[in-house]
Amino acid sequence: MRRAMLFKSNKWWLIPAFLLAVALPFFVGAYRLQIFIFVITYSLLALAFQLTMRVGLPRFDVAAWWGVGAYTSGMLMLKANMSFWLTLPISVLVSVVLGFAVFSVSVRRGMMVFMMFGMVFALALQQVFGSVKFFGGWGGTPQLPPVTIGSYVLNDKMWIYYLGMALLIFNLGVYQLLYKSRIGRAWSAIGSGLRLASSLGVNVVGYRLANVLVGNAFLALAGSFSVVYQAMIIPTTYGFQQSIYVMMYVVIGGLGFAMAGPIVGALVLTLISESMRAAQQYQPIVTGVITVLIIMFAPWGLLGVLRSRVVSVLQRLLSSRAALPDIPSSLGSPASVTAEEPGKDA
Amino acid sequence: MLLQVKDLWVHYGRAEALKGVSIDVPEGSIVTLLGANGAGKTTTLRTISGVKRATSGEIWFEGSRIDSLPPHEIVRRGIAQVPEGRQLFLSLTVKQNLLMGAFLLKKKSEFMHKVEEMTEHFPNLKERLGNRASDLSGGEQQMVAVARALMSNPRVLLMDEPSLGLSPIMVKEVAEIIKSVNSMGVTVVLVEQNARMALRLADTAYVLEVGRVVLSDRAGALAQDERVKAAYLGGRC
Amino acid sequence: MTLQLFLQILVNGLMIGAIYALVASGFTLILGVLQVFNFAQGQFYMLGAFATYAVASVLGAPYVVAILAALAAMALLGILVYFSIIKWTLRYGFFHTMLATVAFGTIVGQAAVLKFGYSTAVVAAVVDKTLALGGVSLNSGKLLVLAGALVVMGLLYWFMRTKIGVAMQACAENREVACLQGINAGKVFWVTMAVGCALCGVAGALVVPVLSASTNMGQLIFLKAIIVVLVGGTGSMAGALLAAFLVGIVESFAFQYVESFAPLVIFALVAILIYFRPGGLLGKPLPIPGQ
Repeated sequence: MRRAMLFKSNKWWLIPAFLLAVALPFFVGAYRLQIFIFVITYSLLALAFQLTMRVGLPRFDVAAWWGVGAYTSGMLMLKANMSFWLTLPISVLVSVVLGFAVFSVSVRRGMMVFMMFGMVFALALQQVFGSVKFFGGWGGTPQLPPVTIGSYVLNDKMWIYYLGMALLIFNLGVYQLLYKSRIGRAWSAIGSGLRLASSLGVNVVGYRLANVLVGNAFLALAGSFSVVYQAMIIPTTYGFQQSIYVMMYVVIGGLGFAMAGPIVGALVLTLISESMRAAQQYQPIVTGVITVLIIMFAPWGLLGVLRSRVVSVLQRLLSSRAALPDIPSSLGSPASVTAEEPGKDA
Repeated sequence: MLLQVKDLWVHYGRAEALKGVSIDVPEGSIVTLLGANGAGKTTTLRTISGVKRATSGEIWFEGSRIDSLPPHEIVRRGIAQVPEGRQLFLSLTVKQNLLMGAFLLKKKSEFMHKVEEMTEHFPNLKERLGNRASDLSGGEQQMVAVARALMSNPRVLLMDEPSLGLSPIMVKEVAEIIKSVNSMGVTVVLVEQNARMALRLADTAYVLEVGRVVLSDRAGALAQDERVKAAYLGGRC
Repeated sequence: MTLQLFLQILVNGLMIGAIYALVASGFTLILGVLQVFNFAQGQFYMLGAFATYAVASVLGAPYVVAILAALAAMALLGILVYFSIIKWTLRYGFFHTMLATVAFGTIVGQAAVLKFGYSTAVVAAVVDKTLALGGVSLNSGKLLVLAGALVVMGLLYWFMRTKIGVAMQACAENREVACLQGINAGKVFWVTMAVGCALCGVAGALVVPVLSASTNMGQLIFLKAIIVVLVGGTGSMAGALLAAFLVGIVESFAFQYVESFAPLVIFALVAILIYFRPGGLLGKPLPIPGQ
């Protein structure tokens, strides 16, 4: 896999990035740390979005499944007095089973129907969370019990941050394993062309459904994690607008970058919107303008710009053609962007 | 030379489709491009029509260079194409298909006049004008496809595999249509799998193999060529 | 249920169905011809409503003038969006154009909130009387919306049979072959954007005397348009029109009986349709990229 090799050859930056992330709580205060906890959560959502993009399926129900995780954990803790840690597998299970019920048909009907049906589901689900008395209504659930480890109450931002980091690293590890496995290769084949994939004998519907359900599992985990740092669960947090932001994170980071793209996008956009706290009402406009500009002038995201800079420098140094990140061609391949350049030597 | 292709290189992504194809099309002639699947015949036509961009090389038509013009401008200059597999607009009626072919005609009267001309030329179409294109048989669809391309009063007609998927009787009819179109003064560039029919019709022929012209001669001479006989004429018809 | 109630719910359903039909047909048109999933579609509806409010209530012009102004303004805005954003992102493919419209919709939505706040803007009802029909009284304002929408649909039907309208259908069916006929795809694209956005503008203009304008109406109607397109089949105009009335009526009745659970009823309807009629109500949808 070309991407895997790129990842390997560029692995050096992982070490300083990791050290920086570990050291972060010692440099910033509790308030700032909360922002980075948000960054982690949004990264988890964006990673799941990127996962389904791999099989050519954009999804707009990301926040809804995130909400499924949060509500499952929250409700079990509230109504059944269950320990937070016990709710984790249950919320994953709920998300996957419900996801199977919702998507097993729509995933057969192609990308358009899958995407739109997801939106309709998200709308209906939010209505359920908001309207059903059991879930506490539009105002949110009652105060959630604190998350504990043994007798220790997990309310220190630093430990919540580290828990989030652990979850993020767990996500990245599983994604990396999946992408490198046979399943991951099948997903890439589907992403780079449906007809080709099915002519190679790949069970498109099956692999797509598996992909979506893996995404659901991770989204539910992220939802459960959001219970840790929230006093209560409010249905509008898990609404359509959040799903739209997730999509923006992925594109701003870079569509061709399975791991780093979503994280960079979530980091950049969250920091931008945080730095605009004083002018909160202008924040969606700024975000929108940035997204439009990125799409028009850097269609492969910030990392795409970085990569092409690095590549062009490398090219000048080595005067050879360095490999560009491969992007599923169903999204419009980068080759088609540069198709008009001469490439007789290729 | 009415239409001239000079050293055309075309890529799909990194894959090379044409590697320096040159073709001369004299006014009033029928030129045929032969070759196996993937030899680059369709790519050549698509590039001439402007729906695919060349990497390098030149296309000249009536003394001006057209390889950077948009497709609709190339149609306006007088190059129309009958695409492979006919590709009518199946959801539209036959008349609406013809209207699309005549998109560049400004006046409605001109269009009506052209429709009359076409129904004279293809009498079968007369009572089919109101039908949906999807209701037509393969042969009828081919006629509509040719008529649609002729609506814009082209000087050159590019035909991509007009005999594809037609019965032997219909293939003969298509050959007749090509002849009569040519006798109207329209230059024809014919891409064909059916080499026997193409060589019978054409004045000159080019043989393409994996993106290169490997043979070119008068059609009559090529029909006698041993290599062509072995590769393209053997066993057919 | 009394006949009175039944007819009132029916008229209500027909009215919102007609509005859904206008927005959804604009959406399908743009989706089919440009292959752009226009997330900002609802915002054009919202802007159309506010434009009507501005012209009719603030400037005091007659309502008909306000409708025409909203139509023209949204058509122009659609063209502007095409030339400033969509044209430059089309070559990157489906996902990028979609995201560009998402971002544009976000900008417009927030700009509207900044300008108008979360309050609603009301245009004086054009007709206030109730229409008595054999002992049943109906809201004539709603009937007027329905009539206006039907007139617009008639105009759309006529337009789709003109040369440029047929060219739009041809482009939707097979863009490359349409180009081979000498159809200027760029021109067809901006005309489609103009028509698709004008349809939303008119829908907003028609609805504003009855439902009043608010800044979040755009996103709500967009989700409704999605439902309509799912029920009617992606890319099918006739399917969208039929589905819009179906969804409108079902929603209207569902709201009467289960109130806030109406979205669930709609969800169930969509789920059943997806299961049994993969191509939508009327069968085969048009080809859309990346299936």
